[in-house]
Amino acid sequence: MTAERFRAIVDAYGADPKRWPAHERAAVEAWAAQHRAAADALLDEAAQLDAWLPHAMVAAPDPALARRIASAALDLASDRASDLASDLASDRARDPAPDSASDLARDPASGHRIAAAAKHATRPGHDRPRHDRPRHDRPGRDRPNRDRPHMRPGRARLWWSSAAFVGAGLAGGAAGAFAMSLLLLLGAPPTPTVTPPDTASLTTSFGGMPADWSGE
Amino acid sequence: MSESERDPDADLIAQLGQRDPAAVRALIARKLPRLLALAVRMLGDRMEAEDVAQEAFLRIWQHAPRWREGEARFDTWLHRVALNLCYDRLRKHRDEPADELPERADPGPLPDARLEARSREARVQAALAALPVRQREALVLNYYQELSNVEAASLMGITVDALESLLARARRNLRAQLAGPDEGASHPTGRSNTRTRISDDS
Repeated sequence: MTAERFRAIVDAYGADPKRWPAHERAAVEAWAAQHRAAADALLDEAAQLDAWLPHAMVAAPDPALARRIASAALDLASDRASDLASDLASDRARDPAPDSASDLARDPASGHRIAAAAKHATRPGHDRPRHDRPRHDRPGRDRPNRDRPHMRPGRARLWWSSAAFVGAGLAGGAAGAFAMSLLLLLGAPPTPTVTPPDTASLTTSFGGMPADWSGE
Repeated sequence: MSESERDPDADLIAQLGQRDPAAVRALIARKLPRLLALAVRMLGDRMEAEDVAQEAFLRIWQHAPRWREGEARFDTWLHRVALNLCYDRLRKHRDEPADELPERADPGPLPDARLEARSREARVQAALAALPVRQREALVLNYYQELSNVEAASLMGITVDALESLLARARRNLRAQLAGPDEGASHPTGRSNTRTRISDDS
């Protein structure tokens, strides 16, 4: 131990031997004992600052802060448990949605099928592969919608628009078939009847037979 | 790390990885006071320090399941996380205008010992906040957090010699600031000083 090293230690760590580097403590104390006057001058100066430092106190944490921190931990754990439960549920209930509009066209009479298809398309776990879903996503949490599998409106809109297109086509086909069968039954298309404005109110919708009450 | 030098937090972190609510409470009780004290002394602002503490604990909850006992102690890692968060905030505020606080607080009359103690507390905190940030970091880690010189130097990424140099300059600056009479105290929170002294030390 040298005078320079003694001074360096006291300048850096103060006058309290407990704060001196452990492996040098004995040597520093021995040097101070041998050079009492020089050591005391340095130690007294350092002790003045040491007396100030404990005054920079920090109040204990607010219990509300501890509760918020604990709540965040439990929320995170709940998120992960929820994700796990969701994954397991998806495995059990895996039921592929119709792959194309042709699936719907095979059963045109069933409007329920279309609704069911649309519902399927928005159910978690059915619109993309399981491994493609982030594990942290969970409904009801403040996360971006892009991370929520059940919040993918583009895919759902696609199903609805396809279903509407197919439905309109089927309705048009049925109406056309009904018109053709009626035409064949009557043999000829009806001739349009042009009625003057003043007699229009006296003719029926089938035309040609004006109501004549003059003979009575 | 030998068995006798086992990380004292290792068992608790392992329980935390299993989402044990009791471990959550135990870790908060064990770490929050020190973590908050570190952030308050580094930032000079309790509200911001509480935000840092919350963010640091969030990192714990996120990383605990993957924590593996290794060379670095959990407490050292946690200090590093908290210091990084503090530096992020200090950098963010570095170029912002200083708070409109009076340059010198009026300590007013000190009728009793309690007010005098509060005045001394304010003076020390102001003097700490006025230190260049690396000097403050060295003093906070070694003196207030009671980390060894090797641990503090490792956390700061410097040698023990460099740490001792920072500590000596920090103490010299503090002594100069605290040497005057009470009315010479700078503003009580020292917040504006904290925000403007991030990189002016060496």
